[in-house]
This record gives sequence, structure tokens and C-alpha cells, in this order.
Amino acid sequence: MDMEAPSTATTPSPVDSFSALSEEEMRQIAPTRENRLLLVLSIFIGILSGLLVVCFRISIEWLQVLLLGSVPHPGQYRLLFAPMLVGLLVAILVKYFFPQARGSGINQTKAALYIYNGYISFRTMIGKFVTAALAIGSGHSLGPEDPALQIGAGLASIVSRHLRLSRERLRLFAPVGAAAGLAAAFNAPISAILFVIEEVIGRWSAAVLGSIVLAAVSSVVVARAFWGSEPMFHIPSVNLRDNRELLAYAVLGVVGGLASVLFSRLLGWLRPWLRTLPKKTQVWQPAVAGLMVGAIGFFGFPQVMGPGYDVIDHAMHGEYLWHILLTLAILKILATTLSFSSGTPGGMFAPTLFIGAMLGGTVGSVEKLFFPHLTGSIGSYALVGMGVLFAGFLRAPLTSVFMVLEVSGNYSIVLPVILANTIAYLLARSLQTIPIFEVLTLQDGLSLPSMEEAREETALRVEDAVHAPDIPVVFGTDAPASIVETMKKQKVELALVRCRNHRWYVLTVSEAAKAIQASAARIEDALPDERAPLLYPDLALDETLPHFRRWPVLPVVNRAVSGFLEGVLSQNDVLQCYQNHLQVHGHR
Amino acid sequence: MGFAEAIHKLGGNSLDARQRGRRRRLILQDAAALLSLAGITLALSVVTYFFFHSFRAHRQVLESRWFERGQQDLASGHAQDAVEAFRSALTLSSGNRAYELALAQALADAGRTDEAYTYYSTLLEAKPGDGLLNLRMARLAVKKNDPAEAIALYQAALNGDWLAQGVSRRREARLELAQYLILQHMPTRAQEELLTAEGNALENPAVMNQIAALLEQAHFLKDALTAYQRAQQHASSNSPEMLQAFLGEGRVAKSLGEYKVARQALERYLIHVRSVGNPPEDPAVVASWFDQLQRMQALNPLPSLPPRQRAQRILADGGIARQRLRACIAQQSTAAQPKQDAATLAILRSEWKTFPSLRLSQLANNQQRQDSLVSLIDQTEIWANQRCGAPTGDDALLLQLATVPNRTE
Repeated sequence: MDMEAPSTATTPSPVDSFSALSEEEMRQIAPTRENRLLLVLSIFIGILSGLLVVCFRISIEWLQVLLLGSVPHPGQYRLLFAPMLVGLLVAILVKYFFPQARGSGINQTKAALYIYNGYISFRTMIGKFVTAALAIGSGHSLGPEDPALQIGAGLASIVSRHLRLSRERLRLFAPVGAAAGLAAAFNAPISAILFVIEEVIGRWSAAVLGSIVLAAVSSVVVARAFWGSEPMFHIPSVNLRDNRELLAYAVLGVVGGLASVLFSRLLGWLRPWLRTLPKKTQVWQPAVAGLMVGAIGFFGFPQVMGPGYDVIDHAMHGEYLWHILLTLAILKILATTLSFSSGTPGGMFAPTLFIGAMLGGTVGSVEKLFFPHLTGSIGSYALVGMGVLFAGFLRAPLTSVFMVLEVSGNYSIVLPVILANTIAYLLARSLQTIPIFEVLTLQDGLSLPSMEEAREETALRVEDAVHAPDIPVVFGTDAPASIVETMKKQKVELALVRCRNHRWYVLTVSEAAKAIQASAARIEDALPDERAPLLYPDLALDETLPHFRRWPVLPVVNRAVSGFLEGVLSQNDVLQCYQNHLQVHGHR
Repeated sequence: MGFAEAIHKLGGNSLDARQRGRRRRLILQDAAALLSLAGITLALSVVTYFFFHSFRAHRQVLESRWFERGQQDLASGHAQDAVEAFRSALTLSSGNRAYELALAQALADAGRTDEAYTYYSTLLEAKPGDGLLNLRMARLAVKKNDPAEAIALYQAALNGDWLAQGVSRRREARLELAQYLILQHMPTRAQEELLTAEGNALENPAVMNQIAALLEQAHFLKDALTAYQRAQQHASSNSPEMLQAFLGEGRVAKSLGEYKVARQALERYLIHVRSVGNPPEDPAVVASWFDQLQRMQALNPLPSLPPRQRAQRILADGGIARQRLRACIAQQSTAAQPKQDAATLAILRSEWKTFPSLRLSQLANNQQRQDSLVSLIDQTEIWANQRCGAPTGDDALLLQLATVPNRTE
């Protein structure tokens, strides 16, 4: 992990530190309190995150003006000194005051969720704000979105702790704040929600979805009150006159996929290598990285400094020729690798979008040279390029599609985006199996759940373990004596009884014997009201496990024909199925 | 949950007194926490508002400073610096239309044609019907020597949107297109555009003069003459436009052989020029043209003249032309002559042999002989012009008369 994280043992329990009431006691005296607070707090977190993110971005822009001038131009000496000196300052701040503010922010938020019960300290949040604003404002090639995500998560954590919410709610609130922070930074609520679900939580959870949506929407409303509701980038409508033009976007998908792999591998190599250097050099690493990034700017390409949204906009408006675009893409990969690997706080979203836009612009420009009749503008290629890198490098395929639609407000681009993103995602995944966030997590010595693996996981279903009944199947109208006779004949202790209303009961020998003693004419008359649960072949296999405490075997029925028996399932069948699956697919 | 049960729970009846007290305290604490959150939100909103707006104001100052610097650079011919300045302004104010257009213009002025072209293309994709963008791109296509693209873009500019002064801007674009078509040796298409423009500029003498000049350049002299005359109808007397129209009319009428019209136009020019401060042409020069026309009138053997007067002019013109032939033969004697040329010369010589013996009374009574002599004079002047270079004096005037298809007064 990037940060010197507090161990779970030393993490103060939010409940202990804020109240004498235990969680159990609180649940007893106010059972509906948390549910009521949840939605109100989501809105508050959204609004506060929105305001903080606006301040954060304005701070970055003010610092840029102060440190690099209103618009940096090659040959200005401040381009060399500002990132270097601020890099040193940031490194000192991180080392001595805000150790948990290091790095991007996404993994820290995930760690807070999965390891520290949703705990992010106030100090970490402030540290992230200050150090990331300084680093990005001084020209380090990093973006504000990932820190904004962590700032939002930190805020949510602080607020929920202040209100003494339960441990379970504390864990839920960090992603809520993360979505709010990201939504405000991107001005894109759907992408933020999807990203948090795709990359932070890893699954759709009804419990948290409502809160995430409320927080994201609130924060975007606040952000738009300041920046306006216009989309981040404007491109003309893409009108595919000929579907063969999709091939051009497919080429972009391939290029983007390869660039994603290159970027990932560079980061995967440089970051651990820098960490192998003596510890005393680590405080100097952001300064050296800043000097090198500054040198790129000083010697001709100041565009690579900072997040670079203005440069993306210029590229979309066709201001650069293809060779400049390609050079910018390559230099940005280099600059971001240097800045990020040195441990400077800041995110990778904006650089990823920058590289994607430049590559997209390059591909678009080259294709226009050879096929001038293509209808897509360079802007549309740059936009698709952004999505391509997002899908290939950050491995968030669903978010990448919606992100492109939201930042452009242009639905006409959807087909090229889906095609190119899918190609980039598949190509990157086949060449670089482990996604970048997981690579970083592993480098930090943590084991956080892999969202991509979770997506890939094939869930076992009831149909995988079910088999034909190996116990007698009888009717509820049958006489108990005949049933016992049948069970004896087959030498089994159980029988499946088909009752009224197409429900089933699993009968034991002793129950049948009791029915005979009670002189019941039909077995059904002697049975209790309880019936075996309705299990269908498509249900997840793990859903069956709780029922084995009561039922030795479980009948599986058809969804279409009520009560039609598909087979039976025992606890042993389920365990056997899991073991077989493990043998085939191996351990994680 | 049933209603009664809900009431029961709300009242906390299932709780003991200590728990109820704690519950009340918890509710108060929550309310206080939410109130404090609301207070923090409000305070942060105020801080953010002032922070945001102070930065916005500063940024606006910066962007307009860059824009002004760019305009100054562009005006002083430092287009490269202007490109950087406009780009900086755009960095601070993305999507600003005025800055975008200025940057595109600066790129074009800096000679970065490809960049400018690509940039304009992107701007055009956002607003394909923008007249100004199409016009500027058409100019770049001209620079790139791509006539088909240039003409298509000019046409798109004519059909495009112009935010203000659409009529006049379209007309300017049309005249620019016509000029380009003339340069591309497509006079008929140019004429179509010019006649369309003329129809929309009847009451604007300056534009009409411009159209007439282009028609003249495209060698549609009759249309040009009409246009100059229309310009005169709407120009205020003694205005530069009026003088321009007189001058153009005189020039075109002379080329058409309508010498009387030409003379009258130049005469009017010379009368009106006295009251105009800055005339389009030096009156002395125009006066010399007028004198030439007078002399030309004296030389012109018009068929409508009385036979004797016409014969007199033919004899005088014949003398001049014969003299020119002799001088030209003497000049050419040393040089070897092509066969065909020698044959023509032999014919001319044989035809001129009988000329000295001609009497005025004989010629005055022989219409056919008059016409054949006029033809001989024309052929001689044309041949001499081809062999011995441009003539001067009366020979030049006779040559002009010879080349006019329909000789009028």
C-alpha cells in the first residue's frame, strides 16, 4: 500500500471513540435511525463533496497560474524549478505529516473499505487536498479525479463517524463519498456511479445504490452551479454514412490497447524499482520526477504538465498535426510514469484521458490523410481514444463507455466507442493479465479484491450440482404404511412427498412411522405445515447452503411447470461441486 | 409494520426509562449534528463562491490580455507570436468562438497552412453552415492550390450563415469567387456569379463598378459596359464612384469600338474630375486618351460617312499604312522570312502598287474599292504589328481600328 496504513488493530473503533452506546444498544433504542439518516446524509455528503472538489480544482488552477504562469510556454525557467521544488515540498509533507496521502486515491479508498472498516482520517483528507493540489498545480503529470474520489470518501467517512453510524454503514459510506467526489470532478454522475460500482465495490448492491446515486447527483448539481451544465468537451455529431468506417475506430481500439499495455508495464516496472532505492532517496524522488517533467515542458512540450484538459480540448479542435499528437502521447506516458512512480500524490484519470485523446487524434489525423472521405472528425477520434485508454488501462469497460457519452454529451458516438473500447479492453487484458490497480495493490503488499476477477468469476448454480432423485418420490395422498414399505425396499431413510399446491416435503423414516402411529390415512395429513424451500436450477448454489440445516436433501423444481421436480440436491453434492470447480479453475 | 405497532415503537413504549432517555439524547444529538452539517455546508458554499469567482475574474483578465496581445501581434505582422497568444487565450477560455477564429486566422497568416486548414476543418465540422468559416477555408484551399475544393468552399460560403450583414458579405464572397474563377480560366462561371451579384447590387455604385471591372477582366465587355452605365445611374454626381464609372465606360467602349460612347464618357470624366479631390485617374492621362479618341475619330473611315469624305480618310489612312509597310520591310530585309510570311508580303505589295495612282474622285465613286482599301489598311497594320512590333502614333490608332470587329462612330 502506498500509505503507511494503520493496522486494523490500532484503528480506533468509530463507535467506541464517539459514544458510550454500543452498536447493539443503538440498534435497540433506535432501530430505524440509520436508514432514515442514510438518505439525508447522502445528500449532505454529495453537496459537501461537490463544494470541496470545486475548491480543490480551483486551488489547482490558482497554483498553476502562480507557479507556472497563466499559460506555460517552452523556455520558461519556472517550468524546471516549480515542479522540482514543489515536488520536494510535497514529499516532505507526505513523509512527515500526511503519510496516507501518497499515490492515487482509488486503492486507498478500496483499502479503507475492505481493511479499515471505512475509516479515512481527517488528516488524510486534508493531506490529500493540499499535497495533490500542490503537485498537480506545479505541473506534475497527474490528475485531480482520483484525489477527488478519496477526498469525497474521506468526507463521507468523517461525517458518518461523527454521527456514530454502525460499522456496516461506515463501510458503505466511503464508496458513497467516493462517487460524489468523482462525479463532481468529472461532472459526470453516471460514470462516477459506475466506476465506484465497477472498481471500488465490485458488485451491484441495492443497499448502497440509492445513496450513491443521491450523493453523485447532489455533488454534480453543486459542481454545475459553478462550472455550468455544458459537457466537458464539444464534438460534432458523428454520422456514420458507411459502417465500414467502424474499421477505422477498430484500428484505434488496437492502438489504444497496445498503448495501455505499454503504460501499465512502464508503471509496473518503474514504481517498484524506485522503491528498491535507499529510503533516504525517496524524499527526493518527486523532486527529480518534477525536474524531468519540467524539462519536457521547458524543451518544447509544456502541454504534458498538469492534468492537460485544455490540451485535450485543443486536440479535439484539430489544433495539432498528427506528429505533434503522437509526440504528446508518448511524452505524457513518460511524464505520468515518472510523476506517479515517484509517489507524488495525484491521479491517473486525467493523464489516461490525455494519452487516449492524443492517440485518438493521431489515428484520426492519419486516417483522414489516407481516407479523406471519413465522416468522423478528429475530435470524435480523440474522444473515442479517451474511452479506449480508459477501458484498456483502467480496465473499467462499462464506465469507459458512459464516461465518453457524459463528457461529450453526444450519444451519436456510442457505436464507435463500444467497438473501440471492447477491442482495447480485450487486447489489454490478454497482453497484461493483471489490471493496473491490482498491480499497484500488489506492489504495496496488500491483497484487495480484484474487481476484474470478480467480474470474470463464473458463479456456480443449482443446476451444476443437481442430480436425479435417488430417494422415493411419493404423493401426499399416499398411505404412510406404503411409503414406509417403499423406503424399506429401497433401503433409504428419506422420501420426497409431493404435497398440495405443488410443494414438496422431505420425509424421514421416523416421521413416516409417527404418521402410522397417528393412524393418518394420508401422509400429508400427518405432516407439519412447513414445506421444503422452492429452489430453481438457475439459483446461485451458495443460496442453498442455509437450508441444509433443516433439510437433508432439497428438491429442485421447474420455474415454468409449478412443482415439476428437476432433481434433488444434498449438502454433499454442493460441496462436491465446489471442489470440482476449484480443481478445474484453480485457486485465486 | 402495523399502524398500532408503529405508534408503539415510535413512542418507545417497549424501552425502559433509561433507554428512552438515551434515545431522546440520541435524537437531539443527531439533530444537532445535522444542523452543524448544514452550517458547515453553508459556510463552505460561501467560501467556495468567493474563491471561485475571484479566480474566474482573474482568469478573464488573463484571457483578454492574451487575446489583445495576439491581436497586436497579428496587426504588426508577427503571426507566429499571435498563434501562441491566441492559443493561450483559448487555454483559459476553451470554446470561445472569437478566439478560435482568431487562432485559425493567425495560423493561416503565419503560413502554417496545413495546421490552419485542419483547425478550420474541425471548426467547420462543428458549424458546417458557417459562411465565414467556409470563406476562410476557401482562401486556404486557394493557397493550397486546390481549385475544386476552393470553389466548393466558396459556394458553401455563399450558401452559408452569416451572422450579420449577410447580403454584403455574401456579395463579397461571390466577387472573390468570381475573381478566382477568372484566374482559373473559367470565365463563363465567373460571368454567372458576376451577373448574379449585379442583380443584388443595383443601387450600390461602388460594388457595381467592382463587378464591371471583373466582367471587363473576364472579357465580357458588353456586360461590363452595362454595369458601368448602371453604376452611373446610382452614383451621386462628382463622387469617386461616378468618376470610376465614367472611366470604366470609356475604356470598355473604346475596346468595343464604340468610340463616340467612349469619348462622351471620358469627356464627362474630365468635366466632373475638377470637383473631386482624389480622382481615380490623373486627368492629364485621361485627357490624352480623349485626344487619341478624337484623332481616331478623324482617322476612322466609317461606312456611314459621305463618299467623298470617306475616300479622303481612306487615302490618308492608306498613306500612313503604306509608310508603315515600307518601314517594316526595310527593318525586316536582313532577316530571313518564313515562306508563308513572304507570300503574304508579296500579296500586300502587289495590292499597294496601284495605290499611288488612285484619285480622290475615282475612289469616292467606288464603294467596293473603298472597302477593299480599308481591308488592305487593316491587314497591313496587323501584319506590321506582328512582324515589326507595336506601332506608335497614328499607326497604333489604325491598328486599334483594325482590330475592332464592328466599327462605329
